[in-house]
Amino acid sequence: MPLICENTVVAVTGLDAGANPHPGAEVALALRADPDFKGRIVGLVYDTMVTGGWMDDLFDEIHLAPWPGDDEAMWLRRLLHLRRNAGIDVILPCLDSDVPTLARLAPRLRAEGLHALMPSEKAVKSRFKWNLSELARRVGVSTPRTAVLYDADQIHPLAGWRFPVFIKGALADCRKAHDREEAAYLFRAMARRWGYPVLIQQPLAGTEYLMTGVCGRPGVPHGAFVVKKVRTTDLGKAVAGVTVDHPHVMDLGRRLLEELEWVGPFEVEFLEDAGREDFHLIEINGRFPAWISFAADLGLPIVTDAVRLALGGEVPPRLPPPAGLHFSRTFRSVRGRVLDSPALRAAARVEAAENRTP
Amino acid sequence: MNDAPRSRLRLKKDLDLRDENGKTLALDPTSGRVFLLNATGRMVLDALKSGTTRESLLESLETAYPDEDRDRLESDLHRVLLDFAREDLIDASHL
Repeated sequence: MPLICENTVVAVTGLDAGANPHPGAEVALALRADPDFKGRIVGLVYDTMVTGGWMDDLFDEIHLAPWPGDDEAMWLRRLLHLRRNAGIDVILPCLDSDVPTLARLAPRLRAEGLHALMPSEKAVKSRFKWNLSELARRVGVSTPRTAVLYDADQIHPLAGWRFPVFIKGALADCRKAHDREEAAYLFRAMARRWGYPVLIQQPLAGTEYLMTGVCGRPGVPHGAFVVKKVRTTDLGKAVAGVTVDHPHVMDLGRRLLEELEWVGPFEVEFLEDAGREDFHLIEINGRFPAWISFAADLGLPIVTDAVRLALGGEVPPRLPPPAGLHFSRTFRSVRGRVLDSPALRAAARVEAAENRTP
Repeated sequence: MNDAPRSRLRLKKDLDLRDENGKTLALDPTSGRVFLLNATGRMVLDALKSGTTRESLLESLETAYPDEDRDRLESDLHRVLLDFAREDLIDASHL
């Protein structure tokens, strides 16, 4: 298996660890855990206080990237600057909101020697939250009851809905609303942050399963395995999970990825309802999950494989890990001198380069 | 603008400093706020450490930037000093 050599530079986004931890630090951890990865890792932060910007044991360098939702021209300019000045060869987007932008920019970046293993724009759009029911219908998978709304006033006439409901942002984010007033408030907050539409979804009780892996060829998953969520945050994010050998979940996931002709990392989320009568597709994320270092711990180097595939390399088949292995996410404090913050220093470099700051 | 050099201007507290590519990161140890200064801001800051006057600061700036118009330098200096006062780094009553 070819090494990812010392002069290969991999950039990773999504480094914040708030209430909804981003996967970037876990992706870097997975790379660091792989003895075949000898390259350098550059962390991209959109803010100087992003928690991962302080993790200089994981990242060789920290640089500023545009904010999620900033326009494509800004992303292109910044990434090409980092290609030339930080030497980044591969970018692994780890935020949901980065995926559509990087999918569009991938061909132009590739022409400049910056590689991103990305799906087509059509595939990205087909798994947008407001298109998920249609995609699931084509593949014969159920989805929870969902309304796609463009106006908060549409919440009040919704008949037959039981509260609480989930309010979901167009590109990312999910909050629980316990009544119509809270739903209207969260609707506006989501619309301000992520634009339209905003989705309302009826929560289902049951057991959640996550399938992750990476597609090198369109619609063909590599290194895929399934984890059952055994503990979640208030936002429903996995904090503990167990590997399972679940052929049905794996089959549903494969059918969806094949239908999408997906390329790149993925996390497909299903829920088996409490009556164990049906599996529902909850979402398809175009990135690795925020617990992906677990795969590296299991000896499954799928993050390194994503880098190899992005660079046009070959990867050997990877067998899923055995069932019954557990991960539990914990927080770790990073300490240091404020003025040594790699992210703050990156901000100073950007200001110096652009000759701003009065 | 008050250009009378009556009062000495002095930093009210020590700041923790770090230079980075010609910029200076400055940490206010009381508020925990971090400021980003350019070369002029750093020059003003260094002078304020030991105490100075507005007139003396202006002369230093004229020496450093001989091609700049004096009114422009005075206006910039006033803005920087107001910023410092707003962040409670110098006493605003001395401006």
